[in-house]
Amino acid sequence: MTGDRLLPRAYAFAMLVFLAVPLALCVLFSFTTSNSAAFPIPAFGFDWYARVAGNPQFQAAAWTTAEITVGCGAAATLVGLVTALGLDRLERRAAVAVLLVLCLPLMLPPLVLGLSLLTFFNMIGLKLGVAATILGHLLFTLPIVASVLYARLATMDGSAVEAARDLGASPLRAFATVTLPAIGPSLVGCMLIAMALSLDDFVIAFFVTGSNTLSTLIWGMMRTTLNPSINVVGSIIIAVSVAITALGLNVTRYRG
Amino acid sequence: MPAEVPLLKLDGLTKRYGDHVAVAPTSLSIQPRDFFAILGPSGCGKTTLLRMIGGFVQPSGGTVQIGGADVTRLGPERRPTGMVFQNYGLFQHMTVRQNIAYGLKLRREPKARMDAAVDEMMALVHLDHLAERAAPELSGGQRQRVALARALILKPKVLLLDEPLAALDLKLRKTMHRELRALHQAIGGTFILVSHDQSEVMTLANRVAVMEHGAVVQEGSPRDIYMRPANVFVSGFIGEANTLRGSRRDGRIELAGGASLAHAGRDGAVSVVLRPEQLELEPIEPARVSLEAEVTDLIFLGPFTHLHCTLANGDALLVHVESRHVAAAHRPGARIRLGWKADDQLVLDAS
Repeated sequence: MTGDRLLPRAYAFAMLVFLAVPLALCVLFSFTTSNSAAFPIPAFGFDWYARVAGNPQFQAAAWTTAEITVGCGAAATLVGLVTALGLDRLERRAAVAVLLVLCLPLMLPPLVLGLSLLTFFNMIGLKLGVAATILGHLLFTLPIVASVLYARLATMDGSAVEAARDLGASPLRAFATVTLPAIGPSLVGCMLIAMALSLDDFVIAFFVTGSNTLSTLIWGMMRTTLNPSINVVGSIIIAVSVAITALGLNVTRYRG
Repeated sequence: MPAEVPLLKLDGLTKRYGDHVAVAPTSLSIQPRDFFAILGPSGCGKTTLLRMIGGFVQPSGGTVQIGGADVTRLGPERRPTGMVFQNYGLFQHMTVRQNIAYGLKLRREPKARMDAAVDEMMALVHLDHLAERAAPELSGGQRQRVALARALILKPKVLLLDEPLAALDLKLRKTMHRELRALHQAIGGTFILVSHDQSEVMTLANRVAVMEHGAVVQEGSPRDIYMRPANVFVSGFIGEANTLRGSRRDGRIELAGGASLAHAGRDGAVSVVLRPEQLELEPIEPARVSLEAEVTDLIFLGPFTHLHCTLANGDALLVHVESRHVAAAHRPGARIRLGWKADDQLVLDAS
């Protein structure tokens, strides 16, 4: 390896270490049998996992999180699909303009978004909870789902749908037998990515859920306790996020 | 024309997009078993016209009748037309067999009958050995055949072909020309082809409509249109043509390139259209119209030689002659005389 290639590689490696080590430590300490998340680790075991699993607060938060994640995945996919289908009928420039507007929430700091949502939901009298959180999460998952699906539809051969119509299919039938199979993988992939994004959110959940999700649960725990149960919950979130994202990227065949 | 009832009748069919007229009111009659071609440069509205016949574009005015029934307001799924799309529109997640069977499946045809029909159709377009091949794995020519078979299996009254061969290379295109001709004869169907390729149209069609700027400017057999083009645009679009500018006064035309000929008609600007093969070198017969030109280039093509010439006023002139008539004196830079029979020339009054 020559010198001019060594430097960028070393830099990239250092970055990876910098990003991955905290995650690795979080997971590592979740398996400790000690009372504190610190070295030395006397022994490895599932002691803390067992304790967290038995904790009713954790169970409630896990259930809420599951509802929000699945709800957000389904809602983002459905609304995103309808949006993308509509955009596909517009001229390209108009479609891109609408997508840009949809993407505006992505550019706001989540804190501002969360606060605005709380104010708005209070104003219109929407009760805080799972439904409100799903709506909030739609703000930043919908633009991503709509963009991906629009890109997929735009590259699709429009004459395949027309051919189906020509061969006797109603518009709905043509959609079900030609469009849906073509965009199916993207659809599943989008749903999983939306779920992963929803699962990772803390700020909006903090403002509008009203009860605990896994993220807000960790935050609460960190203020009162400092033991490896935090690492356990964190590890669970990491594992589920990574699993969903990996599955999502694999299904959409996304390669960078 | 035989006094048959037209299979397809367009009456004042029009498409406007805002102020833009994509297709000006067009009326055409197409007889059963016609291989009808709509020929024109890109953007002339030919595809829009075809898509209105297929039901993919809602016309702004006029009607489409097929077999006497008005189908103007019907969607493509309710018209007895089949379409072969320019980029084929194959169902990428299906095999060749599934693609071809799609229409019959929608009609809930019994499985045994459906399989037999698909087998027969695949044999007709030489795809029998590829039945289980997935659509994305097919070559251009194979895709083309699947698209044809998929449309033809429903026995449409009219098969619409939207530049179906444009994406194929020249050799494959020629093979497909022969196959399309054979197919048309074998099934006795009525085909409408949209194309910008005049040689394709000459090869395939028995009737041609030439379109320019959204309007049909001439309709007839390929021979009629080649021999008697209605205007300078048509003459230049079908085959090669030399257009000599000139003006007529008191029954004589003075060509800007330096010839004079008797021709009765209204005074004013005219164009004299000559096919390259109608010109001859060093005319001996005094009856010929002739003018002087300078050879600028000479291209030997075996049986024929193409001479590129320039007239006194700078106009270019293309001449196709049999190579045996070309002498050593006909080299670039040489001044030669070119002549033609007055019967061959086509004089068009400037519009």
